[in-house]
Amino acid sequence: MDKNKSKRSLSKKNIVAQNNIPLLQPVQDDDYFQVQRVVKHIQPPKPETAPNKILASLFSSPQIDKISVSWIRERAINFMKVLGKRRINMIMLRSLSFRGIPQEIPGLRPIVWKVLLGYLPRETSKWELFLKNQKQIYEDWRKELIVEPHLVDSQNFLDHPLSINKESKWSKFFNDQELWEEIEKDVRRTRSDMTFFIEAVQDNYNHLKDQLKKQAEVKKSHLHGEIRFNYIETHSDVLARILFIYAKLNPGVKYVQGMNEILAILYYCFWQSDETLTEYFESDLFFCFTNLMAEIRDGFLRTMDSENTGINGKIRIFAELMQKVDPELHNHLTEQTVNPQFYSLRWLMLLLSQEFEIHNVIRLWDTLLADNERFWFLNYVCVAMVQIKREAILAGDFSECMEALQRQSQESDPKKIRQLLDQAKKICQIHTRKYDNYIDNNGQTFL
Amino acid sequence: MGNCNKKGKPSRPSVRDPINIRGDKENKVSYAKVVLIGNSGVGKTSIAQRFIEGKFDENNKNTVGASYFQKNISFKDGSSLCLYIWDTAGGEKFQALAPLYYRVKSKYIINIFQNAHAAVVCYSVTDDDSLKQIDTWLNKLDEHGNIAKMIKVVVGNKSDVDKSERRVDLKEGKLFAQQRDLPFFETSALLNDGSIDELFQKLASQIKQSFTKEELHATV
Repeated sequence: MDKNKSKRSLSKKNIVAQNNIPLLQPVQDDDYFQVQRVVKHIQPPKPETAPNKILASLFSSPQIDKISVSWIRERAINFMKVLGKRRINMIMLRSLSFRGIPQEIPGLRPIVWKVLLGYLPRETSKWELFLKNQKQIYEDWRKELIVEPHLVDSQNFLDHPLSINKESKWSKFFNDQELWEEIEKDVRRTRSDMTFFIEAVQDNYNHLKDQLKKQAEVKKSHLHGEIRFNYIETHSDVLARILFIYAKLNPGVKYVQGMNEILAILYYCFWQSDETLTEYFESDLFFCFTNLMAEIRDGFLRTMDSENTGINGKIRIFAELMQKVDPELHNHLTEQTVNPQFYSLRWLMLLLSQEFEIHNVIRLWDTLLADNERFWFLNYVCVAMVQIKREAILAGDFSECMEALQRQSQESDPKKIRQLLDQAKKICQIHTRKYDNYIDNNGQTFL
Repeated sequence: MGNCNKKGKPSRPSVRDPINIRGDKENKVSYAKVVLIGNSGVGKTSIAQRFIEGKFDENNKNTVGASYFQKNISFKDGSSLCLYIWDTAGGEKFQALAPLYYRVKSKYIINIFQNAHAAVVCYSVTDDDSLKQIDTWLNKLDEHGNIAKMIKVVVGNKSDVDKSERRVDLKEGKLFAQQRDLPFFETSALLNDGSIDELFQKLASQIKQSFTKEELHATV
C-alpha cells in the first residue's frame, strides 16, 4: 500500500525532471483510475443524512448496488460523500470529476456539472429554494420574451398584425422571426449524428413517426394544415427556445453559430437527471448555459476576435503551446502552411464538442469542466489531438495533414478519449506552469 | 479525400513548389484553389461532400471555421486539374472571420479568398434571402480576393425539393446570374443526378481556359 502511494504521489520535482514525453503509450484498461483502497466495502451515505431532497434521492439510488466494478462503485460513493457535505469542497469535487464521473448513477453527472458550472450553490442546504427561485425567474423571462400575438391583447385592446405601434405584440413578433429562423436553421442540424434531438420531448408522442419526420424535414414556418396543428414539441424546439431567450437577454452576444453545439451537450447530460430535478430541467439548463457562455463567449464574438480571450487569441495561445511541446510537429505543420486556425478554431471555440460521439464529449467535458482555470487544460487536450496524428502528419503534405487533422471526427471508442486525456495529462505534467491547479487536498496531483 | 497525383507511397512535395511534385514530369498536375461560399444552411458542405465522396450525408452540422477538400478532375485530352476546395462557414460570425487571416513568419497576411482561382457562390432555392445575399458575397470576394480573373459561378442548391418548398424559380436564379454576367447552375447535393459533378467539371474547364499553366500552381 505504501509503495503504491509513493508511486502515485509524484512530486513536482520528479515531474519537472522528466524532459521528454513518452508518446502515446497504450492505455491499460481502466488501470489509470485505480486508487488505493482504504476501506474495502464502503457504503454510500445514508439518504437521511443528505442536506437536501435532491441528494437524498441520489443517495438512495438503487443503481449503486448494480455496479459490479468495485472501483467505479467507490468513485460514485466518493462523489456522493463530497456532495453530501454542508459546504462542498470544490477542490475535492474537481479532482474527482477530472478523472471522469461514473455514468452508472445517471443522476450524478448533471448535479456535479451544475456545481462545477457555479450554478448550484456550494451550500447544499440552499439548493431547493434556489432552484425554485431560478425556475420562477426563467419562466417570467420566457413569458415576457416569447411573444405569442393575438388579435385581442390581455387588456382587451385590439392588436392588429399591421399595427405600427411599437408596443404591439405583432410588431415584436415579426421582429423576432428573423432570430427564430436563424436559430431554427441550426438546431435542426444539431447533433444530427443522433436522432435524440428530433424526438418528442414527451416520450408518449414518439410513436408518431410520420409527424415527427415531416417536422424534421420541413421548416417550421412552412408546415401546413394538420401537420402544423398537431405539432409535437421536440428536443430541438427546447434548444431553440433557450438559445432564443439567451439571445434576447444578451443583445451584445445574440446568437452565434456553434452555441447550439455547446447547449446540446449540456442538454443531453441534464436529460439524464433524477426525477427530483426534472421540473427544473429547462431553467437549470438555461442558467448553466448562460454561466458557461459567460466564460467562453469571447470566442464567439467578432469584436473580441483579436483579444487574448477571443478566438484568434485562443488559437495563438494553443499554437504557442504546440510549439513548445512538440517543436518538430509544429515546424512541419508550419512548413506545410497548415495554419492552426484551419483545424483548432472549431476545437477551441466549441470545447471539442463536434469532434467526438456525444458520450465521449461528455466524458471529456467532465475533465474540462473540472479545470481549476477553465479552459486552460483544453489547450493540452488540443495539443494531444494533434500528437495523436503525429506520424501521419510528419509524413504528410498540406492536404494529408489537413485530412489527418480534420477527420478524426466522431470517434466513438471510449479508449481513444482516455488515450487522448492521458496524453494531455502527460503534456500538462511536463509543461505546465499552472501545475498547482491540478493538486488535490492531500497535496497529490490528480493529473 | 481524393488525392491528386499520388501513386503508391505518396511523395512529400512542398505544396508551394509545384516543380517538385512527383508524377509524370511531362504531364505535370495543375492546381486551382476554389472557395465555396454563401449563406448558412444553403448546402455548401453537402455540395463538397457530394463532389468529393459521392454521397449525401444527412448528418450535417453547421460548419464552424472552414474545411478543406481536394479532388482531381480529368479532362478528355488526358490532362488533369487538382482542385483545392475550401468549404467555408456561412454564419455571420465567420463572415467576418472568413477571410481567415493569419500570419506566416510574422510577415504575410493571408486570407482564405487570397489566391483563389474560383469561387462557387451558393444559395438555396428554398430560401429567397440567400439569393439576395449573393451580392454581399460577391462584394466580399472583390474586397478580399486578389486574383482579378477569379472565376465566379452562382449555384442554386436543393433543386430536388418539392414545389411547395421552393422559393426561388429556376428562371429567377438564371436571370439573377445573367444580370451579373455569371455562369449559373442549379444543383442537388441530395440526388445523385450528376448536377454537382457537372458544376465542377465545367468550372475546372473554365479555370483551365482562363489561367496559364504557370498560374495554376498550388497555393492553399
